[in-house]
Amino acid sequence: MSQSVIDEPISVSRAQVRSQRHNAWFELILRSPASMAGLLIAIAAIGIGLFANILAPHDYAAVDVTQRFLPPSLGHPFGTDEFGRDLLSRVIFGARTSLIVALSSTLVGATLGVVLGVTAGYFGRASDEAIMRLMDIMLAFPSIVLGIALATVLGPSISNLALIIGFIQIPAFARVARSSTLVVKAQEYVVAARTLGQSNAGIMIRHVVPNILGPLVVLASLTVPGAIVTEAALSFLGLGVQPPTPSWGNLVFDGTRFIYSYPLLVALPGIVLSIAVLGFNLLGDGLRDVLDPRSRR
Amino acid sequence: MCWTLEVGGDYRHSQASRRMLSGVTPAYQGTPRHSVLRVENLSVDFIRGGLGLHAVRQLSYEIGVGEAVALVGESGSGKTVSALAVLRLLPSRTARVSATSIDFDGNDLTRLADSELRKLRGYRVSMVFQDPLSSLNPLMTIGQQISEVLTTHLGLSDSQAAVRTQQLLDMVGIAGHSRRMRSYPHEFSGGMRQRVMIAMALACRPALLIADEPTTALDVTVQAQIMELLANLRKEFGMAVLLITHDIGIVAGFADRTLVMYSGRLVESGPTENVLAHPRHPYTLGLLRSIPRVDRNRRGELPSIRGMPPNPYDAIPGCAFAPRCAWAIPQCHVSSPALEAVGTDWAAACWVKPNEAV
Amino acid sequence: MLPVSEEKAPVRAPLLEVRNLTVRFPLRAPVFARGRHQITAVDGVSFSIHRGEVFALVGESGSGKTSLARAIVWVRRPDGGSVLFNGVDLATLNGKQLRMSRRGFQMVFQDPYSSLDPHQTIGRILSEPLRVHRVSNVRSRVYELLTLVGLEPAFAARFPHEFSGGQLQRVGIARALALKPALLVCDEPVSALDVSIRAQVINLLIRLQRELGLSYLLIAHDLGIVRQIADVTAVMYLGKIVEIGTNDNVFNHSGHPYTVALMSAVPVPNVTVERNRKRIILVGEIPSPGVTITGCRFHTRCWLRTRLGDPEICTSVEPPLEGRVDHSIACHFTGEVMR
Repeated sequence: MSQSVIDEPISVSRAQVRSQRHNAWFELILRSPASMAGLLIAIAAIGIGLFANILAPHDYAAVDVTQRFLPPSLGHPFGTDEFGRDLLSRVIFGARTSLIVALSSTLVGATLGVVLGVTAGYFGRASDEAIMRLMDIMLAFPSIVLGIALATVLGPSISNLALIIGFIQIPAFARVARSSTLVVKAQEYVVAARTLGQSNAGIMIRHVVPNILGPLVVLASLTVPGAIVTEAALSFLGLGVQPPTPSWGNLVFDGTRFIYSYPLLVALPGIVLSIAVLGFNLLGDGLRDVLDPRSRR
Repeated sequence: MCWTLEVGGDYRHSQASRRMLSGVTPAYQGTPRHSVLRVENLSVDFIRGGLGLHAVRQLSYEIGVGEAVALVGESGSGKTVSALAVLRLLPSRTARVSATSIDFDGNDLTRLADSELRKLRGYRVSMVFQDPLSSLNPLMTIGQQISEVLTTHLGLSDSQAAVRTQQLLDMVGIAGHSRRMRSYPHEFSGGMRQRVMIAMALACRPALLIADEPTTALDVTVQAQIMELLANLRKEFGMAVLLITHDIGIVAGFADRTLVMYSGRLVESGPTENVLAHPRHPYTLGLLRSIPRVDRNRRGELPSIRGMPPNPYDAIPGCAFAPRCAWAIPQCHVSSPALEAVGTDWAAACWVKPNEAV
Repeated sequence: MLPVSEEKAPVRAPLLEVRNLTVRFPLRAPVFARGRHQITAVDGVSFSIHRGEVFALVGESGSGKTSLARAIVWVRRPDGGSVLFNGVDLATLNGKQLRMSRRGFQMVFQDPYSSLDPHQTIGRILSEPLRVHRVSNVRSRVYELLTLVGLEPAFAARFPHEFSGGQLQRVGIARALALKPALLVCDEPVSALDVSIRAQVINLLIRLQRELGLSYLLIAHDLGIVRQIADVTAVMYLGKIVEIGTNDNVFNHSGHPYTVALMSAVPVPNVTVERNRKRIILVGEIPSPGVTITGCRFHTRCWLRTRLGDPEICTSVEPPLEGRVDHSIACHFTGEVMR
């Protein structure tokens, strides 16, 4: 069974044209100013978090009671807080904490959500009912209430915070993963894989997950800002990152005590937080426009 | 009001005389056709991502009053694009349309204002598409949609329109009107929807009906019904029909003349009888030979055309079919042949023009 | 739910035997409507395919031919009846055994664009069956398969969107051949392709069948193709076979009014033939499978029944599929059809 049974091999003429489509999504991001701005902000935020120890002009925990509540100056561009710590350094290190929590919680939420959603969508029937009703129950609780309850039980720490916020995100990922799986499951290549003898796990890993990544990437990038805000909210309530470790949330929280006397202590971390959230949102919207053909004009 | 217009007697006459003569030679030659549509040198280019795509190149054809013409070609041959271009239905941002002239019913469509052209569409010329479900509004009843055509184009009152709608449904073979008129498109089968589309298209007794793959989505038994309906209505209304199809099989029982397109160009045009029985272009010949026939006890492999249609982005110096052609001579790869007469009202664009029966 | 087959494989069993196969679909009725309605897409179909045979199943949309194909390749468990491959009832196999027996029967799909995973290279697509079944020398097998279907080995590194429909269908055929099956179930293998490409793919299928000694279950609505390549043809209407027999019998001595009408509806690209043909144009369309029809399932559209003055038996008694081994027909008045 090796002989060729055709008159002549066929050349690959239309390949050149079509392969240009491959990197098109990146071009589309570059072309839209809003998503480009979002991309730059996201990269900047992650870069700041990554290189915090290089970028920060001072030690974020260095207390100097002689230098309390300084206004912005060359030495302390954001001024200092009530312990005389350099606010800019704290914001920079706060980026690291906030982003670690936001990104790892999204990873946790996405992983568990995708496993549940794909399972529900692929097998359908009872497992679908069971999993999705569970998700509905989780969604029935306001996420911040759920977060407070879990944080109270587990106790405040960065890793617990990531787990808690990730847990809150599971239903969103599960729903998107399930509905995308339903679409992919109906495609003939899934039927083809079954006729080849591929196992269910193999089909889900090899065919379903790669084909639903688009909407999941979009959701993830839109989840990150939510996670930053939730982290801030929990830290603000004292249930999140514990002092002296700075995070954007507890910086704002600490600043509120001096909101009338030294409003910059709230305003500066708050502005940075807002810009980062906006950036990830813009990036997410841009990715959705590119990856989800339904929202394309 | 166009509904009350009587069909001109000259059409029946010319049709009859043509049929009498059609056994040997077609009724007339060259230009003195009384045409409803005459397209000259139509070219359409699409601009996509900096790449130019020649969808239609230098297409010229004519459709006589009351004549049924089939435009045959596979996907990407430019057959649908050329029809849409004639009616200026292509997106102006991406499509560049040029033509020496497009004469429809005494109007030069290349010069006509958009508003004037809009009045012609659906009134003097109408279209039927492949997928009737997406051409019908899912939220309006069948009766409302047909009446809408009548009230907007003909200015009929609602009650007049209701009467006409019933007549139209009768005409396309949909019985039990009052219930049917209150139905929504999804309650109809594919064949019934296509009948509704035809009723809407014929509401104003157009001079030309453009049917773009009207039966492709239908089963063969339903296809036979729809083609018979179209043939009967054409005779009854004396309208011309441009049947756009990839299925060269369905033209035999329907079209007076057949135009074959390949890669944006007209490669053969002539009386259907001649083109199907004794095509002079290798593509037409190859296509006809490669079709498995239900009326023949032939077994085993089919004489197939090798290779595949060219990429429309590629510039081909010679004849676009040359790389696949069994008759190609060196000249074919260098220069592109023009349409050349091979008989009365019959032309092929080929340097070789093989003379073989299917 | 499935009858357990107790018998052992007969000595000269047909390659594939389908017994009384039934496929139903639940029809979701409104909550307030009582009970759960069902649509019977395939209604007790039986036939067998022998080694090296091309068996064609002809029918219009709604005839149940695709549901039947899916049940035969066991991607959808039938609701009744059994499928025996090489004499072994597929319902009796456990997961591992079923996976092993799948090597013997493979499927070619209608739409090459949706049956190949867009995120995988051609090489990965072709190596999937080999890896699942732990075949060695995957790379050289993939190259061999590509050559077998007339494609260049270099295509292995490319993605499906870089190819035309005809090329992709060749990839689909190559994937189906990867495990050296004995039976290929081809569901409308060329109807999604360009007209000038169809003959190439049909020829490829013919050559592969001859050279590799394959059997085909060809599902098609195009009677021309069926006449060209099938040995045995079965005509399906509303979930049942109404006529089955050797190609010569079904095409040259059609015995069911539906077969006759179906053949006369297929256009022929020749003006003289078209002009002189006797055309039977059926009224209406194939009824929805949810509708219960008493008597012969074709009677609502039957031209012969009208001609015979509406005999009562057509609407009261369902005609059984009967006749000779090489030609069976389900019609009360099959003698009148041949006239």
